[in-house]
Amino acid sequence: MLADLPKAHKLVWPHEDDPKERLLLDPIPQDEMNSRMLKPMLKASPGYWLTVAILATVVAVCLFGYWFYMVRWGMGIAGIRRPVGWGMFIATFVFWIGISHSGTFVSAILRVFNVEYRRPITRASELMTTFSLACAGLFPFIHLGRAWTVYFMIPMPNQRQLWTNFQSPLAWDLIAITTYLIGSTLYVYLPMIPDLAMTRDRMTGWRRTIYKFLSLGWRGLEYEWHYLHVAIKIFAFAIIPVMFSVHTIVSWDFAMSTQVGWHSSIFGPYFVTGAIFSGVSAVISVLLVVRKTMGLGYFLRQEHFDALAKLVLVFSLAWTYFFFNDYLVEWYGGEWVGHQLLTLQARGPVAPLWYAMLFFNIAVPVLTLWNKRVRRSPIALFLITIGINIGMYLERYIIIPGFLQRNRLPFDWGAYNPQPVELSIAIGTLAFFSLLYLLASKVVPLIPVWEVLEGQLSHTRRRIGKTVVTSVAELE
Amino acid sequence: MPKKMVLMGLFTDVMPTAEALDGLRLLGVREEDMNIMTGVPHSAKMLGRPKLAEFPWISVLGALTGLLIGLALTFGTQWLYPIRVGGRPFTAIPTSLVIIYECTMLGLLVSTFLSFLWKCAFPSTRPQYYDPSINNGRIALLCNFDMRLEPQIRQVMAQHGAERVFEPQRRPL
Repeated sequence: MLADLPKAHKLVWPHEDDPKERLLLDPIPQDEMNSRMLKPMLKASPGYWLTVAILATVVAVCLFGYWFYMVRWGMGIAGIRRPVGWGMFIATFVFWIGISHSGTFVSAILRVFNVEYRRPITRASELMTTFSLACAGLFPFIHLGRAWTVYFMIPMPNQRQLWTNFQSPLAWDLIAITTYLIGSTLYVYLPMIPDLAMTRDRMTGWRRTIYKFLSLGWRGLEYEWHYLHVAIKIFAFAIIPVMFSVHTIVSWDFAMSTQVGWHSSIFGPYFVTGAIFSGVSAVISVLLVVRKTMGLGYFLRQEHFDALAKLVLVFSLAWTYFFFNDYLVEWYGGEWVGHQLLTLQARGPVAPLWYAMLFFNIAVPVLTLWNKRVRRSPIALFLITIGINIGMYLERYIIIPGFLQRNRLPFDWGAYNPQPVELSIAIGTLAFFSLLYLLASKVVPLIPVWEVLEGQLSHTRRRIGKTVVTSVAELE
Repeated sequence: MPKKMVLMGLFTDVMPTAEALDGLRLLGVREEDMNIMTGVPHSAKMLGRPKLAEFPWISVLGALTGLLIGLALTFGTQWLYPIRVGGRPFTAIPTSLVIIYECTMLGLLVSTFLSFLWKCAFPSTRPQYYDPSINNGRIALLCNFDMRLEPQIRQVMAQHGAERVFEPQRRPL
């Protein structure tokens, strides 16, 4: 009996959900939905072009200009020198590979598990995967210094009759990233075809010609939908292990060496968790900007950010677990060099970055994201997710040039100071990513309209007892 | 040989479309001669239609091709330029598995995409029967039949609430 409960208990009436708050329960005519998606694609404000111009200039100067400058004057102008052979270039490379896990995780994993809130956010996050891989793919070339020597990695008969060393983690990395780039590009393109056809039907002139070419002649016939579903299903299942393999192999670039702090069997899952953590956070940041600037409030609602923020919280805890595991084992092991490494983090020159990393990656998300109001506040969420990506960048920086400052030969210890060319190229790739995304937002329908419509078709409300609840039908 | 013709009926909902399909079946129109065109996927179950059942052989073949390429890259190149190092295996299986796995997955993904293009006959530039109103929520029922049945076919479609029944023209998309 409720009357038997202690007085401290308060009774409240259960809150009735407003179905209009949920995209899949708030249908509008298909025609109007298409228009809402296409309108921001067709309109470009002066502010848009100004941003494009600024970003293009930053890319030209900071990325390609400085890269050319480094090729001209040699790697000596970068801060990498004994014992720190891998610096900011590799840290930024790992960062972009991490961001690339956004699309695959949000799209493929949520698709495989039939998570319905994924529908409007898949395309925008899949595009992030492709563009961040494009940014990451530049770094092996940049880091090589003499970029043209990359052909040594390509398996082809050559004058010396030597082949690529396929037993090397670096060769694994090249092949894994190539697989992931090709796979994720096809994976973003496949579900886009019906939306490109819809766009084709509403365009005229040169735009129509482009969409006609891109939509391949799609008509929405039964067998076309069938084969598309089969292909998407195979892709969704196949791209997940590829995603896991890519960041695991990136971690093996470090873990396969005998460097203290790197040679760890937990590096694979630790890196993958960190990648998903930063990737999902980046998806939130980008979606918030897209919603604000493109007026896509109908498609991207609080429910989506709330759900993604919960994922971020889960991955923050998972990352904390791996971080602590990695830290504790090193600390407990008692190896002298390992302790020097931990001291470097806690009290050495890397300390401010290390504490900032812990603050952004653990303290902030864990203390804030449990709160529904924070999860539903765009400004708070934007700041938290940007903070997480700063924290994750710092993590890569600490692990790569940070750890390399200490090794088993104390006479070979050293410091690393990133030079303007390294900072500039890192900023340049951030501008490159933003520029690619900005340009794509005017070409590609960022919301998969057909997937939203399909979701709305399967969602209904039904009465059970005194309440009306949401019911989801299995259409397949 | 009786002459054939094509009619297209535009419907606003799934149920009337499915009923029109039933009506056409009763007139003797074969399943293969009817097709549905939509802007949103409607499953075979929803339309009361038989489902395409195929095992993705091309994807499997693609994966096997990738596997063979992976084997060639790892073990094959070792044999092409043998470097024997004392105490080390000539061909190491664990390290080779990574490349073999990546090549297999790449083969699977690329062949799945190519098989989709092949099965849908994409890219297609020829003029086709099409109506852009399917992207405004309409469901188009395309029917290819013996010309003599035209009045009955029109009647069945109209009876089940077709908004418009007409003889479509092949047009560039």
